[in-house]
Amino acid sequence: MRKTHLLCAALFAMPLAAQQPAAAKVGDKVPEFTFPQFHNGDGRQKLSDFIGHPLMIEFWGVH
Amino acid sequence: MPHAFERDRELRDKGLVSLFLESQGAADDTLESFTWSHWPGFDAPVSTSTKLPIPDFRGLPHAALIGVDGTLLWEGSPSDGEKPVREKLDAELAKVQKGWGPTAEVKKVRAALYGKGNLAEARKQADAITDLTLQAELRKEVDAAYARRTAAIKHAQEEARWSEAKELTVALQKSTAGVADWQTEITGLLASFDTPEAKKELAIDDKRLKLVRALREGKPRATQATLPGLLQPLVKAGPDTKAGQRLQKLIDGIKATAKE
Repeated sequence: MRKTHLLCAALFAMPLAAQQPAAAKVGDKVPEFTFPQFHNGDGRQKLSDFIGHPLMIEFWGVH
Repeated sequence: MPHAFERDRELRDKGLVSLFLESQGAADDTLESFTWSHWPGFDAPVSTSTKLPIPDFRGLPHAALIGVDGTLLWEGSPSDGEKPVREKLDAELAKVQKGWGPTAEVKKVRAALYGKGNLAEARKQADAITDLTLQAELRKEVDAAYARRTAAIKHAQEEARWSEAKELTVALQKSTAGVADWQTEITGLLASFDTPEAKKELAIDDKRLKLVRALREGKPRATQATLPGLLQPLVKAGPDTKAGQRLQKLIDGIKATAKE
């Protein structure tokens, strides 16, 4: 029974893992990803669209 | 966050792109009014956060610096101090100006493309590369930059930022001088600002953009309480325009934020 549960958990986890590339470490190339649509943006959403300029991603919160 | 806003204000024209991601679950349609309420004239790209392939962090604010070639160069918080990130950032900004890459030819193309923003010169430099594989790669990079700039114009129009759209178009025309196929498309883009509808949008949005730039420089100094009084007269110039409706939404949002 426990093995079945583990197998099911692994099967469900696989597609999620495939969608989210592993986090880059400092010094690594960051895998391609897509940002949400920005207000005040220029339409760029994919990381590769920003190549050519240094990119500072600022995480902040309203609270 | 104030330090990030200040850094964006200082370094945007030198080539830094700052993206602001709200990470505490705020509704997407409240972000502009919230940022304006706290930092009048806020005009940097802002969105809600999502899972990104960079290291997790424990607290806010937090930031990550990605270099010109897509390498993660730094991640940390303002409490780590400005010096470590500033050194890396300055090195990247120097690459924007001087170009980077495996050969002097590649650097020349990228210096023209990203440092000067001169697409015609970048294409000319790319065409002069004798290694045909490398030439094709660089031409692709230049063409992609052109496509992004035309897309940015259309995106600004869609967001009712007509004045920025027109400025981007004029800059693109200058940047592509002498390249016939690009100039033909840009002439069409410029014509889109000459319609009666576009002129109405520009009449109000020119005033908005002027105010945004003044507020970013702190002249006039504004607060959440005084902002609606500065913005409302602009709406009266064109309440039925998309630019006017966008401004009214911003004013309503600022007032709602003040009540919370």
